[in-house]
Amino acid sequence: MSSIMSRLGREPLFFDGAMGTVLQEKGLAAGEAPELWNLSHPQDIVDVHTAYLEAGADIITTNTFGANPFKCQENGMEMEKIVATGVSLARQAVQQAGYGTVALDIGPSGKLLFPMGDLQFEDAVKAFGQMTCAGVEAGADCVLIETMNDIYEVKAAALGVKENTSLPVFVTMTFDADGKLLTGGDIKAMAAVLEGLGIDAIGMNCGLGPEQMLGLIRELRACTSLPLVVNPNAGLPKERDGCTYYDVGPEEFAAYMKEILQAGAWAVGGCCGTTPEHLRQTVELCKSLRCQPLPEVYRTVVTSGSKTVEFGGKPIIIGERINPTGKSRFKQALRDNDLPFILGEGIAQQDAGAHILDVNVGLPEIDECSVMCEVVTELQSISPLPLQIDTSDPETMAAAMRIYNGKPLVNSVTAKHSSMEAIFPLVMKYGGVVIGLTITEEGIPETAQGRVDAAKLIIDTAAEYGIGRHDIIIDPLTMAVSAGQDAALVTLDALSRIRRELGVYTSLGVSNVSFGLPQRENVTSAFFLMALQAGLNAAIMNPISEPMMRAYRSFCALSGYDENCMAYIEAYSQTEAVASPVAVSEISLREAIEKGLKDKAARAAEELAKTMTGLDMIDHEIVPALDNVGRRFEAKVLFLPQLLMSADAAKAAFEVIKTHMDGQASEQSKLTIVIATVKGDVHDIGKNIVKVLLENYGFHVIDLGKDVPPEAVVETAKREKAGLVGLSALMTTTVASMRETIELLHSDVPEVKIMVGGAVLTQEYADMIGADFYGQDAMASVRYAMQLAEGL
Amino acid sequence: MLNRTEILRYIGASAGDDTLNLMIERAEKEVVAASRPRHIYKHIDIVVNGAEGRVNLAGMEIESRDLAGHLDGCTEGFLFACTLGVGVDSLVKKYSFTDLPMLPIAQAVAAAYVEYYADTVQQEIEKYAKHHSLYLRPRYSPGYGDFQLNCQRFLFDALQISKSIGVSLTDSFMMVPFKSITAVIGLSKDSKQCHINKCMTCTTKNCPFRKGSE
Repeated sequence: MSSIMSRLGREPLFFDGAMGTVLQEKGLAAGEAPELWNLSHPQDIVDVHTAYLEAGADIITTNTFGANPFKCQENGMEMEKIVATGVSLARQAVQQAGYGTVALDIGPSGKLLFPMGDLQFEDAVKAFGQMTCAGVEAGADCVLIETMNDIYEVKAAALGVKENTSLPVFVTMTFDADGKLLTGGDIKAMAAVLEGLGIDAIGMNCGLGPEQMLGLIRELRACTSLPLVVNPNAGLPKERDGCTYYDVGPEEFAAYMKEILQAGAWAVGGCCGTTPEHLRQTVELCKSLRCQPLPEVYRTVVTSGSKTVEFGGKPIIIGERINPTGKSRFKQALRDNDLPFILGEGIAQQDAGAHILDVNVGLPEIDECSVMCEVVTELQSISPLPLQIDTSDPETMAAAMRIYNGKPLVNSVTAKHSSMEAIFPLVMKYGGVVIGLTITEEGIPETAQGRVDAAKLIIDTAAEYGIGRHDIIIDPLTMAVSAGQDAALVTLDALSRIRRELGVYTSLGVSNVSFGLPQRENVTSAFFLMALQAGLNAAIMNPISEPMMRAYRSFCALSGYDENCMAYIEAYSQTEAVASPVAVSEISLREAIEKGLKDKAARAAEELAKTMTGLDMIDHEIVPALDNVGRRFEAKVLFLPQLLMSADAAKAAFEVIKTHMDGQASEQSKLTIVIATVKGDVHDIGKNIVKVLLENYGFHVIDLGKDVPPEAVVETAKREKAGLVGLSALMTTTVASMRETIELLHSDVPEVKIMVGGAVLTQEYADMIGADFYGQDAMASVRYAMQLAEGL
Repeated sequence: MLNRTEILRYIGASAGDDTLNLMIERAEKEVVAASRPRHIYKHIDIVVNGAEGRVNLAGMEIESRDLAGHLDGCTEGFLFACTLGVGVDSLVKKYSFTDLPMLPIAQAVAAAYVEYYADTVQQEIEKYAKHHSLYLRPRYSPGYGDFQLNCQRFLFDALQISKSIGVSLTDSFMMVPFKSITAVIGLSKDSKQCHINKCMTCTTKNCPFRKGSE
């Protein structure tokens, strides 16, 4: 064990105070990168370190906060050199003083990670890894990742560091006074994720003064067993004559730091505005304090980047619908890479009350690993719910757990050795709560005792890997009652014994119980209630199913999980007790589309499907309706939202036709269209709208997304034999990259037509850059595509 | 509170009907709920060199005739940044996958909201100005006229925007979260700014959002 880890907890340890604040006094200009001073003013940097060591710092942090490869490149700095010099200057100060530990300081990249921003997760991991290598090679004793305000980025940083060194790693994040990160995460989420990643000590720095941080530290102390590090600013920032300053003086600062240590922190120091004098007084006042023992906190928690779900209280609903098993429409969506459909299933379950979403995209003919990663990433960008990664392929599991934003629920491990050997190392590395299925080498035990034994084997083996039982949930497996009279009873017996005897939480996929029976929801919802009563903590189920949700909400109201029955009342006070039978559509399909009424369009299409073929429906109802709406849009009688409502209604009708044609391809235009937002541009809303409208008119559209390099557009256009390429750019600056794409298309695929659109474009502009057509709005693009298709 | 006419203009609608108004009201609630508005600003010295088309902002030389023209007569001002946060991007993206008709509405409402928020924060600067008998010029942002978009980097460094309000720049100098504003606000002793509309100093003449051109 490194010497700093052996001292941690035996006595309060002291980090240094601010670097930038002190350098500004020495003449660092506002906006100038402090890291540059490692090369230009090395003695000043050594002097700052020495001042903190003399004030009593045990750990000094290198002047490398912003020296990540991205910022170095912007500022024309050589990352390795800046970091190595930063570390050796700190080493020099330690050597002169004869004591002290050097922490390689790593701050945020300054970029937002994909998909909300443009920094790819693996690029972030790599960048933090490079910084780590440079710092470790130069002699750092430990690593401090600090001032992080995004759970996703901190995960990238932690992986980058831990994959390149075994030195101790500390992480502090920056919260606002409400205990929230800038990206929306909270203290609980941070604790769960960093514990899962195997960080040695966690805490907070910057953003707040010690007074504001005190309450947050108490909250953090209550939700983790890890040692805490706290480095506040010298108060909240204030401004005078254009300069930021902090006004908590050394004496006041020290008094608060004493309280923070008494609240359970093991290491303290300062951030912006603190000086060697702040530290000196803190050390003097606090050095003889005793470290509080670490609390034993064993919570079963999964998180997204912003939301935490804890097991053990109100039962948790895990939405099961993102799963192709037995669903031909979902399989089709996977084959077509139809993200809107897949993500729509997620959002519908979220709206229906799911707490966690299961994601299973296993289908033999697709690349499960890449689809899983794409669905996880995109779903996380639109839903705050934590996800359950559901795959039997360990490689897919590893990839998805790696890029997951937060601490996932992992579905699943069994009591088979090969399964545990594959999954437990992933849980150790990336963090996660894992569902253990009571399946042994011999299969599913028929008795409750057999399943309890299997559960015990999973828990004991996990412990050998270092995984605590709070990170395991046991699923004693639901079997079809139609195949065995006591199947449900065995499961329920195993469930309550596992809860009672092994002290772990439980989950079940409940719907299997009714397999082979008519009107399955009757049996499933009754079994669900029995399982809840037996102590079930989580159910993998369909939250869109009303009988299931009725059982759930009633159980919560009756079991004291629904204060004043508010959730029950909210769900049912507005609805009729008995659902009315599905009404026959009162208006025609054509009318429903023209009015943009999605549900009515679907019902009308269902009606028509009884008497009309899909193609007739498209030709005589859907297309004329869309045309009429398109004309009214062009005449400015109605506007974009209404046009899209009609498109949505038409889409609902297409869905009905697809179901009735059961896999047969509908008539599709011969024209294939490739669309993309050009390189450098990340605005894709207009392009997405154009895509939906084109698809509505039956065109085969390949959407390459945003920030697409010219080569990718050309390559796809060639491969797919596209007749038309649509390019979008919002900014004047990215029109240049549109021109580049067009030039490349002209030279490599001269036969393809090119249409362009976007806020800054005009007809003149489009002509100038060599486009064949300028689409001034979404309808204009459709008209042009139709015109080209007619010529085919 | 949000300017309904402005929202309709962003949508491209000449007038609202019941459907649109209901959708706008829903979007207003959801956008506000998804927002975590944050801002930062900083007082700076300004030196305008109109003849050479250069401006010195807090020691930083910036080449821009349009900015020089806009700040003509200012000797001080503020660097300004604000954002609605990443939650609005997420909401807009959610609509693009699951409820497309709401997409342009949420976009428009968020655009109006970030302007409203910027105006609200700007009142603090107005107080300062009033106290010193100065007048504000309208917010002027990188990307307007010949004020180059890559000057975003200067604003980001000077205000520590990533760290303080959580906005970052992409490689092509676009801001994420999208609903964010950065600007230079000039202060001068004369009040001549009133007729200057930010659209009127922009060279993107055909912008569909351009005000007052027809």
